[in-house]
Order: sequence, then C-alpha cells, then structure tokens
Amino acid sequence: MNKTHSLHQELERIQFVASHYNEILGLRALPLAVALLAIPVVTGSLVTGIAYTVVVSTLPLVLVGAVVLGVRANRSYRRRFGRVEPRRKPWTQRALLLMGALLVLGAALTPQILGWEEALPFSPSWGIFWAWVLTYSLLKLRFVPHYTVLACVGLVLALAPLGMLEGLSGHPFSTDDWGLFTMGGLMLILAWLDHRFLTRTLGSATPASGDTEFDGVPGE
Amino acid sequence: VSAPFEDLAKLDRLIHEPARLAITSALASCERADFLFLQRLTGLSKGNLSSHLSRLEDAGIVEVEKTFEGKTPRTWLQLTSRGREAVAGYWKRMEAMRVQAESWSPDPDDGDSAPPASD
Repeated sequence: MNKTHSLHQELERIQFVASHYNEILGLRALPLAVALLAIPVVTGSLVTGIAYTVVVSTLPLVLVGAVVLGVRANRSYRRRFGRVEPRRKPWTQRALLLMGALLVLGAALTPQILGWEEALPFSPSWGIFWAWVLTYSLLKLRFVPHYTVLACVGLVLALAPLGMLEGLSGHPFSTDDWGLFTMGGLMLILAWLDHRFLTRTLGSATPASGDTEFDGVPGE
Repeated sequence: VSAPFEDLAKLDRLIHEPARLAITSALASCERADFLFLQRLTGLSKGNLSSHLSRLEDAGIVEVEKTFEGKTPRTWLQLTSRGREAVAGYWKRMEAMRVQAESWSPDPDDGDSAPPASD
C-alpha cells in the first residue's frame, strides 16, 4: 500500500515538474524581481537625499547585473537539467485564461478608480491580486508550497489595516510603489526557493560528459 | 462482474512497467522533452533510459528526434498521437480498476471469501 502510494506520489511529482518546468526556472526571474524592487527607489518613495543619488546612480549597474545573471541562470538550467516544451493549450482554454486575467486585473483596478485605496486602511486592489495568486498556487502549484506561503504573506500585508498606523496617511500599498516593492521582494525569495526546489528535484550533480544523449540501445 | 484483479491482465504492460510509466507520464505532461531532462527527472541511468525509450519507440509510443544546437547534439522525445491515446487509455483503465476495487467484495455464494491473488 505504502509502495503504491509512494509510486503514485512520485508520478504526480514527475507530472508536475514536466508540466511546470519553464515556470519554476527560479533565477531566470531575477531581472523582473530587481526591476520591481527598483521602482520605489527611482520614484523616491524609499530613499531620499544623498542616498537617493548614490542608489540611483548604481541602479543601472544592478539592473544590468540582474539581467546577466538571469540569462546565465537560464543557460545553466538548460545545460544541467535539459529542456521541455510545454503542451500547447487549445485556443478556447487560452481565451478563457486571458479573460480570467483581465477580470482579475479589472477587479484589482476598480478600487483604485473608485478612490477606495486612499479611503480604506487596507489595500483592496493588492488584496485581490494576492488572493488570485493564492488561489492559483493552491489549485496548480501545490508541489511548491512556498508559492502559497508567500501569497499568504502578500495577502496579509495587503489586508492588514496598516493605514491606521500613526504617521501614515493610508495603507502603504495605496501608492503602488510599496506594493510593487513587496511583490519584487517576494519574487526574489520565490526565485531562490524555486531554484532550490529544482536542484533538489532534478539533482545537483552534472552528468558525465556524453551522458546526455539517446543512442538507441536496443532491448533490455 | 469481474474482480478488479482480473482486469490487471488487460493492462498495457509496456506502459505499466514503473520506469516506462515515469517516462510516459512525463512526456504526457508536456509537448516534448529532451533526453537530459528525462534522465534527470526519472533518475534513470543513460543506458537504462535509452533501453526503455527504444522499447517505447519500437512500439510506436514515443517519437525520437535528433537535432543539433550549434555543435551540441540534442535528442527530443515526444509521445506519438498513438502513444498519447495509449497512455490516456492506461490511466482510464487504472482509474476504473481503482473504483471497482473500492466497491468490490467477494461473492459469499462462491465459498471463496479470499480475493484472488494478484501476480
């Protein structure tokens, strides 16, 4: 029974990694994460004065470094773990996904348009976004539970009544800069955890040279 | 109504073998994958994986395509349409057997209370 159960679990793991491989190439997301982190820096929400000048002048270097790292990581993943072409979804499914994404985007933007973001002590827009990420992670990414944990962190931060804190005129996410900064920070953690998941699942050792090709050995 | 164990004999044994089940499950979850990925994912040695892939290729379940990226050879593997049907059929039968096994009970009139042994 246990053997059957573990075989079943192993097959589920195999199916998950094969179908989501390109989504969990962790360090490939570095440039986007760093770019999101850089937004509140550039707009001056995070640092001001001389620190602003120093940080902003080094930012291009940091961004270029992140892009280089992301590209190298992508190449390294292909060399170490191989390549997968995901299944092409039928156009009806793609259309439904697009409609769903547009609906979530519309729902997330509505509180901003109606001016609720400034009026409420929590952030309904970011709350909707993180609730969507949480739902997706629970439905599709249960083999990588760190998505669920980090989506919960985002959701809690968005729905916590931080706007009631003394010295704050509203929830920090209501300016979007801090919302994007949080998203960038969580994405950076996700990138690292995805990388760890891949290395653990697919092994860290590089196969011996010439050990990666099918030579059609007949029979068993 | 047959006992669920009797249906075991009807399973596609080519797919039912654990290593090949792993390979076909992986390939059924994507459009195609290269040899290195399958080797990493299944943990099989090169020779063992090659051997299983040969059997699956001979049976028309897997299609092998050898390409070059610059000077690096790359072997792509994918299920044929017949292979996808075979894998889907296998899982359908397994699911039916699971349901049947859950509801199955020995017929008291047979005087044989023990379920027939599976191989």
